[in-house]
Amino acid sequence: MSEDAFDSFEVAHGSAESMEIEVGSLSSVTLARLVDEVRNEESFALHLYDRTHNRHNR
Amino acid sequence: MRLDTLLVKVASRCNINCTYCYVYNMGDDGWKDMPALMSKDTLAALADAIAQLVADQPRPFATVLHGGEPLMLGAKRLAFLLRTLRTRLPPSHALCMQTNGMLLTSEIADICVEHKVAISVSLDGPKESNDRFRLGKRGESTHDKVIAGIDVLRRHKDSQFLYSGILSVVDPTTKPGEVYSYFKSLGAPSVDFLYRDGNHSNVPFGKDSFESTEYGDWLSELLDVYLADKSPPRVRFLDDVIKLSLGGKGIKEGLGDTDYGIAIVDTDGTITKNDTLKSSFDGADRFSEKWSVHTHRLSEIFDTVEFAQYHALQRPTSIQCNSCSYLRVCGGGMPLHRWGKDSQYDNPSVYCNDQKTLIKKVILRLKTEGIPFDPRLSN
Repeated sequence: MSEDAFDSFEVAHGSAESMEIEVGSLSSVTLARLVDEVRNEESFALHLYDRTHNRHNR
Repeated sequence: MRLDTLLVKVASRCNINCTYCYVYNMGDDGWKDMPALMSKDTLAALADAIAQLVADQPRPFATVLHGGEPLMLGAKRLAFLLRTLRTRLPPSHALCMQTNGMLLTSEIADICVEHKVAISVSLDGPKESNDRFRLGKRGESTHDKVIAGIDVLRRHKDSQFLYSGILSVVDPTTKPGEVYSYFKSLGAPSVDFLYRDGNHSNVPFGKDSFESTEYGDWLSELLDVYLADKSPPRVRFLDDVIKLSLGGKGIKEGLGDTDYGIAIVDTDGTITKNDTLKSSFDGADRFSEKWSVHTHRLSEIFDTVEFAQYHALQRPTSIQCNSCSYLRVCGGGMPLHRWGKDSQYDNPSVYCNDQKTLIKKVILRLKTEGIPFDPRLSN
């Protein structure tokens, strides 16, 4: 959980650490990827600042 | 306060005139007071300021070239900027560009690759969809020129690095599957979708009312298409909603419970607030202090009370948001979408019911798949 998380939600409850799901059994490759990414969130942490295309030019 | 994104307006003007853009069409005239292009002096001061911030702030951040249209800088000035930045910044520092793609040439692509700048292109869908709002200054189509620009990125030998994706504003009157398939046919490695600018005093195009869910329905249909695809690009908006629902983190401003540190540098070097706030009211993006890369150290600006107050604006204040079990995923949306003339930002997003519709859809799908989701969403 980010240390910048909103105060009222500082305790993470539903982290996928507890997921016992076998991602290969999921019907969607996207869901499988995202479950895997949440499980291994720290290794994806650098993407937090990769926000290239959040907005159109104005 | 730490920064995630420094968004640099290297050009204050644009070569096209999207009808939904407030710069030309929604009453914001701030650009008229700005230099059309960032001068060489300001580019050099900017590079020094960013290098200093890299030294002052251990956590990495991204520098995003923006506008107006950043490629109005032209190849020579762009090369000067990037060369100046790269000589002062570590190779790992993320440099990116958001462009409408109309001025993309192989020369520009080579310059960007040389200086490690990834490019994202704005496009709203197939020709008919894109040209409904994204038009030239005489009302002409922009689609074909944008596709030619995307082709430059796709054909480049370093395309895998160079072509980061497509950014699209949702038009709820289109078919999500067609838009998705079109972007996929363009080889987009990732796609991101944006809500239209709008607020409680200026209800967005395509929304009948605060209660209506046109955008939520569109995104829910897109979700079905996306999750059924065996070889999908990444769709960041949906990825974030799903990951946050799983109890993970997002990366997109306007979703989730992470604060994002965002600052804008205008073409004269002035530091401003998030430019999306401009659509709330005239001057909404301005600080009372005249901070500039010419005269101020960025880390000291970000430590001020006024900057902290602006930063805190991300957190929704309304009772509805703060008692909503979906807040952890929704985040209360973007501040610009919360704006109303009477209660200012003390409202849920004008897209509140759209967000709820999509989140409910995601939770239902996770339940169907037997995937545990964040239990706070069950309340």
